[in-house]
Amino acid sequence: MVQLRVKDLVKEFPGGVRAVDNINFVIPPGSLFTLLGPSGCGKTTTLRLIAGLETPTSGQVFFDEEDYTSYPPFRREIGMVFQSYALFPHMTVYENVAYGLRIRNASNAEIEKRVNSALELVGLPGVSDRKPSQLSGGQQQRIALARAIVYDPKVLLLDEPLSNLDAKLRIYMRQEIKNIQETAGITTAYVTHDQEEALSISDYIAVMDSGTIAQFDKPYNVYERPSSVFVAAFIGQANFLEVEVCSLSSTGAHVAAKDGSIVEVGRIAGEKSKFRIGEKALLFFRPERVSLSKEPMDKTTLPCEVTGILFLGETTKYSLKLSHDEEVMVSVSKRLEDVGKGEKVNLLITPSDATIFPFDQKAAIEEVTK
Amino acid sequence: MVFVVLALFIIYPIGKMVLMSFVKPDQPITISNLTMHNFRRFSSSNLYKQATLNSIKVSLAIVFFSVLLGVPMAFVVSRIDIPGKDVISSLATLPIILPPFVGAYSWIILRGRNGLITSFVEKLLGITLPSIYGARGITLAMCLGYWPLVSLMVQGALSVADPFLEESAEVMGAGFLRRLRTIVLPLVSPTIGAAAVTVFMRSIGGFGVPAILGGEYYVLPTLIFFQVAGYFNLNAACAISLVCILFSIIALVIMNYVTAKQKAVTMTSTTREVKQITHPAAKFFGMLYVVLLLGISLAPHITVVIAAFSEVWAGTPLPTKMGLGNFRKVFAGSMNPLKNSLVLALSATLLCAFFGTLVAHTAVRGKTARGRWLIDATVTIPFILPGMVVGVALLSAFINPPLFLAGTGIIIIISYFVRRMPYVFRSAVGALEGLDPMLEQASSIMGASWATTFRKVTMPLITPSIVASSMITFTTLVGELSSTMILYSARWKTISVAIYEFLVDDALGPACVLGSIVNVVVLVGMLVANKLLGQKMGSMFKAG
Repeated sequence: MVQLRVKDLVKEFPGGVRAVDNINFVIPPGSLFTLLGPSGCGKTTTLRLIAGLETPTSGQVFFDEEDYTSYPPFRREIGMVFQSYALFPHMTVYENVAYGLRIRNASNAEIEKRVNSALELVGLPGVSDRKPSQLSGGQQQRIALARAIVYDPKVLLLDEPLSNLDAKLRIYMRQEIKNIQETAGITTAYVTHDQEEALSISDYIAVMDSGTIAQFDKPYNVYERPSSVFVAAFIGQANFLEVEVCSLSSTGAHVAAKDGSIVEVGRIAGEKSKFRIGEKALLFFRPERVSLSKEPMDKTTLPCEVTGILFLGETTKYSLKLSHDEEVMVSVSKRLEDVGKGEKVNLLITPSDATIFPFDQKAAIEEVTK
Repeated sequence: MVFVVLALFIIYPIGKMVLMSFVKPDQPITISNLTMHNFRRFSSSNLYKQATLNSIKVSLAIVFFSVLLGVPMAFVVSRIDIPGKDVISSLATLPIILPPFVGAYSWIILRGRNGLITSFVEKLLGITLPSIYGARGITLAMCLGYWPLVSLMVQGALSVADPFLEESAEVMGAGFLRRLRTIVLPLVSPTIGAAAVTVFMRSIGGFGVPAILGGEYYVLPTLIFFQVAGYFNLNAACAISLVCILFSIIALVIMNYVTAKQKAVTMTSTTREVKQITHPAAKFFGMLYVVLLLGISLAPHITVVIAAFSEVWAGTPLPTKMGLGNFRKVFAGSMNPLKNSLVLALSATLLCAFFGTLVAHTAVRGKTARGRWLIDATVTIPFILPGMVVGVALLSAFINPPLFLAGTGIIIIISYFVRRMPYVFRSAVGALEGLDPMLEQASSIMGASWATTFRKVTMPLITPSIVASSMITFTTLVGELSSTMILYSARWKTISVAIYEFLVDDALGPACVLGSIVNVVVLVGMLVANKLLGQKMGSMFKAG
């Protein structure tokens, strides 16, 4: 198992577009790492730089302590699954999977043994003699995976491997990939724009934003402790309110909503010097980290009016309008009985899950939602 | 109407030809008269046996060298980052379109018994070069004209190949040569096969080059010509034509069998372009190869133009005396051949443009897939038949009343029409397929009649393709020799026939003047077509 390290990586395309702009990360041996971001953020380019399919403008790629930057792809000992699978249409499934082994001069007996066990690993024994075009999308995807891991590559790269599958198969396959990756114990880099996919299978996630890494963290941290407004808005659903800072402490802060209600905040994102008492900040909270009640609560709450109710079974979503026409969306597991549209309710944002961001990041909200 | 035209001018003549080949000369076609008489000579006559063998040998050699030259060219143009690719592509189409027999006789100037290179090498090195006449010369002249067919088609296949396939091989550890061997070549091999068959069909049916460079070396088309012009034994000509076709069909079947095994369906399409090789050495050698091959292939045609202006040119690299003497000689004679060629080519081109579009529209927007297949097959038959064979078929069909057309300009126009309509047909089909039928539907929903829709919506969108393919049709007809040779009469002698007659009389100078005129007409037409058609040129010449 190798450690994959990327140092000061920059890729500038002709015309001056910086697809990858000075990124750094270290992936521990054997872990699954996801590059997540909106389209055009540079995640696929980063993967292709690791593969050697693109040459970096500057920066380095290390496998363990060895600098691989100048190695061509075919010397890097990597396996890769392409978005379109790129199965060779003129070869049988068997020959496709055997390809990498033949290049490594494996004996025929060895090839047969390993191809068969790879096909078994991906759950498709018995399709050896078929052509790729005779397989379904999901099957092709698994063959591509078998082909990529059969020769025990040092690093496995997956470029949106599930994007061509339908929703149900996608959920099933992502678990399969995770299982196979853990069984094989290969250090893996995975590109996706599907946040649920990323959150469910990754050991680490790098959220990318226009060529840079916005946050590199474990999945639950990316969700619960986003480092910037961009990450908060890109991952999951997010509510933002403009507030005024009333007090700052080492453990949190108190802020005032537009109607003057005071909200307790448990987390301050970014440098504390960015915030000043009496100045504006952005209050962020997840829809499910709230309490909602018709009756007054013992803490300070925000009064609001119900503008929409969406019953989803497991949860119920409420659209709420605050005093200054600000809208938020919350989600509670227990439906409020006898509360209809137009009625007044009280909203309590769970203090430990409330975060404030510097106000100058406000533009990122629109960047994500557009 | 579409079906009537196709049946009368394509299916009927070919059927008649097949029947006539099984009947003795001057006997009516009845069951009792059926005989193998006309084919017997293939086992009894040494001349026939030799010519058959020659045809096969030469055609295979031409295929071999065309592939050998054309495939690397395709690779260089599609994969190496060299400048001026548009110019290269245009120049590469020239050898296909310029009449090969015009280039062929410049080889006589260069490498004939007193040719420039022949005498130069003899004087300088004391080596007597082997004669250009015969198999060697035919192979040389024809493969220099046919490699672009291979390169254009393969180039098309290479440029649409999924770049991810090669990248995935690279990631798995395959180096450049291995990728070439295991991925690139297998994927384009069906295309190479198709190109090889196209070249084979053209080679085995080619008349002009063997007629000029063959000398005593006879091939099947030469025999057909002898039978028609010498003995006027149409039945024998039909029989030889059939043998000619038989070999083409065998070639097609073999190739289909071979490529069917590894017929590869590209499963994904991507808009990403294939990465270009930018290594300086690759660029240098790639460019060198392109320049050399294009230079050698176009040299004969350039030589023809120089020879046209030269009055004394023997044993020196350049003519010692330039002048317009040859032109004066030619213009003093009758200018009818030039006029005839232009009239015939233009009429046939207009017919092709009109019917080709109509047939294409019927095929693409028709209701049934079977009808589509039928039209496609019928239109393509004359395309894969040698010109000489088409000539024989038409002659045998229209030599008797009620449709007596032999010797008229009309029969030549018909032969040009059926032979070249596939150009317009194919590019119109391509354009129509790229046209969303919803555009036409929208027009008729808004109340336009079929005719109005065709005129206001369909036509304007497909016109560029049709004009371009018509230009090509015209340019390739101006110098058409093989079917004209069978069908022309004194009244309708064309420029190509005139060139041939000058050559037979050893009047190289005047032949070169006419050749230059043809070349110029072709060049102008090509430039216009290339502007309009661009990259899609390669697919038009494909057989089958």
